[in-house]
Amino acid sequence: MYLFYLPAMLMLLFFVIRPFGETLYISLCKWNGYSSAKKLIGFKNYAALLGDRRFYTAFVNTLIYGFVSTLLQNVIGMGCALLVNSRFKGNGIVRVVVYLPIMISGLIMGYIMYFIFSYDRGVLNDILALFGRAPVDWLADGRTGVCIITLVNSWQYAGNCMVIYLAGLQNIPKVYQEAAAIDGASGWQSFRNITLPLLIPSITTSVIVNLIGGLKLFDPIISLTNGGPNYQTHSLMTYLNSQYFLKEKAGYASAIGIFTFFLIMLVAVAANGYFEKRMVDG
Amino acid sequence: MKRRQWGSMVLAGILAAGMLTGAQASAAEGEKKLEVEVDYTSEALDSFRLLMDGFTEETGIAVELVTPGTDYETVIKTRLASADMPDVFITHGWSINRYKEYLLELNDQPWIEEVSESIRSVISDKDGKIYVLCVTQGVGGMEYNQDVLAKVGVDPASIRTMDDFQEACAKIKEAGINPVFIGGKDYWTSANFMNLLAAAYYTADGCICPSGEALKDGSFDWETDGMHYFNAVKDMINNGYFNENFITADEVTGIESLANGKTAFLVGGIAVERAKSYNESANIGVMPVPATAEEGKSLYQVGEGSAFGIWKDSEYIEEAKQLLEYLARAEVAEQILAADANLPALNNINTAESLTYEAFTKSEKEFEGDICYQNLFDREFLPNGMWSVLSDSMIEVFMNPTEEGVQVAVEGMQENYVEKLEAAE
Amino acid sequence: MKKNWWKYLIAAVLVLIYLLPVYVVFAMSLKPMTDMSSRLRFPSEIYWGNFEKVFRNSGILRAIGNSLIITAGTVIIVVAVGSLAAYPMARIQNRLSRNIKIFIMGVMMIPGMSMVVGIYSMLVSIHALNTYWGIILVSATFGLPFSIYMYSNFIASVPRSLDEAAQMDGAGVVRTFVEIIVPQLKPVTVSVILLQGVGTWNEYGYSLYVLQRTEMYNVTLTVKQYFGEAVRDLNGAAACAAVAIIPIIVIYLLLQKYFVQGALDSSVKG
Repeated sequence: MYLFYLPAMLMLLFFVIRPFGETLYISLCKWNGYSSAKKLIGFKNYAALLGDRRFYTAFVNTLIYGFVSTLLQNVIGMGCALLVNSRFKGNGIVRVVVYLPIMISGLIMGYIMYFIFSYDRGVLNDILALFGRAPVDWLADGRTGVCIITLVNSWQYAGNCMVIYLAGLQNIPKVYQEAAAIDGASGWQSFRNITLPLLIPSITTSVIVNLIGGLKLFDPIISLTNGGPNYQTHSLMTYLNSQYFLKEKAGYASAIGIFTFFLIMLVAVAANGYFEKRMVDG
Repeated sequence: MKRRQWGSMVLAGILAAGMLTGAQASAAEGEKKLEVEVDYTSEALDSFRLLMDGFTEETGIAVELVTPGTDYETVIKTRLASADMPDVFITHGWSINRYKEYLLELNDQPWIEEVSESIRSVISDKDGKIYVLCVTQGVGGMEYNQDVLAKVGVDPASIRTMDDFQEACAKIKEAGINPVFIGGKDYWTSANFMNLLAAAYYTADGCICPSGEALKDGSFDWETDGMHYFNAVKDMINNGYFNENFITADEVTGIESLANGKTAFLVGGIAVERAKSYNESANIGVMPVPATAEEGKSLYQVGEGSAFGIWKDSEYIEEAKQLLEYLARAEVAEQILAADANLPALNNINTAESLTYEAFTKSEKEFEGDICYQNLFDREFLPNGMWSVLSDSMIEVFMNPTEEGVQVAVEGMQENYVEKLEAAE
Repeated sequence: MKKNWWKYLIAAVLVLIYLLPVYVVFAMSLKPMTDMSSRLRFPSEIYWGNFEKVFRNSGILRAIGNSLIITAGTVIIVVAVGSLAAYPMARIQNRLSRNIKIFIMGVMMIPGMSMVVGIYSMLVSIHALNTYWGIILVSATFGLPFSIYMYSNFIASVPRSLDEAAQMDGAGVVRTFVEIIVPQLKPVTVSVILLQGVGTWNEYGYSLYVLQRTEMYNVTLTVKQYFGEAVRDLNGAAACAAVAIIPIIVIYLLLQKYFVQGALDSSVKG
């Protein structure tokens, strides 16, 4: 039966393990990415990471894209799920519409969002103008840029959470809430004390799924800000990309890749541990 | 049951469509094709496509046009890494310093006699060898909206020094018009700006801090002498001479703004036709970058425009040479000139149709005796790989137009300058 | 009805926010580039010129063909290889299996882009750049952990007694898998196909490196190229984006129940 693993393992060996080894090797070299001259320089690229404030910014941003997006997605998703679950005319439309953006490529979504957030003729500034407000250069400030990217990402993928919670909600027997209502619990109390605890399995999976997506964020940053202004909205992945292509620092870019690899591995192991524990407890 | 049917129908449809197109693609692979990679966009690309169709019709050699648009440099670099270059490609100013070792020497080609004097030195290496067919040359300077300047009472021909220029900017701003537009969204636009303006401070004839030799031999110190330029930029920002959204604006918006009289000056490659495409009646003129010292000369930068090189390991060298001969032909070259809106670099080109050429020669008369011509600043005076560093430093000052921001900018310049020089050795 | 007015209000606001970007793209794509009216305004006169230009110049149809081939190839491999590997993972419970599971989970979370330099230079050495099989193998490999995860969760819910009964009848492992397990997998396979399909269709990161010739471009690269090329013509670029997202939106609207089911399979049963 172990032979069943073989095709998958061969593919992973060839396209994950081997490139990983190669990336590891390049991360120890000084190389511009195209010439034939690769020079082994030891751990200098990693040492350089420590002194690079742009790398630090990208690192913090990556955590924001991962964790804040996850939080927002879950809040929005939970809200949508409660709304859709509460049976009223048109709840089907809400479900279809909120899940829709997941179908659209993150890259293309970034371009579309640029139509909305750009200074000249941007939709958001048009809306402000309706209220007589002066236009704002939304993407000119790195912090606002990071917020916008986080919001866009949360908005686009909140549908995933909604669906997960919807299934969770529908699995909760109606009698629980009815019993609580008879006992005179308010809507919030019944949500807090009955619904939420029963949703914990859904919350766990939803958090993990979105954490992965957020930490990997790449496409919408490329098309929305391309890491700018002044490297302030880069994620680790887009920063790697810019170091490899624009700066011709393939070795340094590889070091960023390896760092990110271990960062996410750490999160993955932690999440998996939590997951397993929950399985045992649950 | 019904659910499953839906799913399998869609899947079957996808597969069938995939196989159909797959079959088509593999059928096309058999024939011989010349791969040509160009950095044109929009209409320029459309007209270049037509030229390639003409070539195929005439010679029977198929051409596959690769057009990565703004990713051009990225794509070319990764292809260098895999030693899989297109047969013919545009060298965007790097035929000597970056691509020479990958290019076929072309001194024996029939069109070599037509190469105009002004570009010859820029595209020759130390031994006088030429590696590209340079059909047009890009000229860097300033474009202005004539009507705006007339309205505020500024005569462009009277702007000879940076002080004159600042004075003009102040007047324009007072009239409620944006003096200079910078599109900082994409890195090359701010790099372009610095490439032109920094040269006025450091390499133009009679400039305030002549450092051409020092820049080349590595003895230039950005942390002291670099201040001339970066402080000037800082002051211009603080005086409000740039558009409000200079950090996120794109180049296109600037051209549009110039064409519609909302902006007075653009600094960069001159191409009058671009603004004209937004506003047919726009009155656009060009001028060199003003001098930084009273006795100094104004500066035009001249570099490769549409310059085509042949990959030396190409399988189709003869066909590629044929293509270059075709591109060098007067009637074809004229179309390229019309498309890329640069200036001619071959003597056989008829310039009657070129608005940029007309505006350029007009400015040469207005500034007669007061212009110096130089290669692009980074190509000539800086080590390979500084282009994106220029833009990084500019953005530092944009984001923080104080002494502190300038300090960060010059430190970044110095660090990378030293590093790239070492790498070059 | 009266009691629920706030629900309708929230629902309306949600629908508005979620449809606005899509609306903006379509409204822009139907206006000429010289139209300076607000992007919010519906075109006063429908203008098809942008679409004409997109179909004439951008190679979007070829790109849709390429994306179909790449997506179909990736999905087939992911389904076949993934279900195969999931079987022992769900059935054998020992240290090795658990380690493999952790490894697979790890790979699922690793951004493939972090190894892009290594992947790229390896693809160069095996001449896989600009080939369908190159990009298919890369995207299938990175899709694989996800499908193994889904299949193994699903197979774990298939009663073991079925396997045991087959083995009692003298069926080998392969026969048990093909005859007993595979027929059970239809619902989860639909989910894998749809989710992996959408993922591959929208993929951009590796494609940027692997598919460098225009004739090999997939949909996302073509849209990116169009935005780069048509720097002055944002309305044309909007039309290109519209053409790229229409097929997937149509498929979604037709099959949205399955998509929702897929999203559930991928998470809740974990």
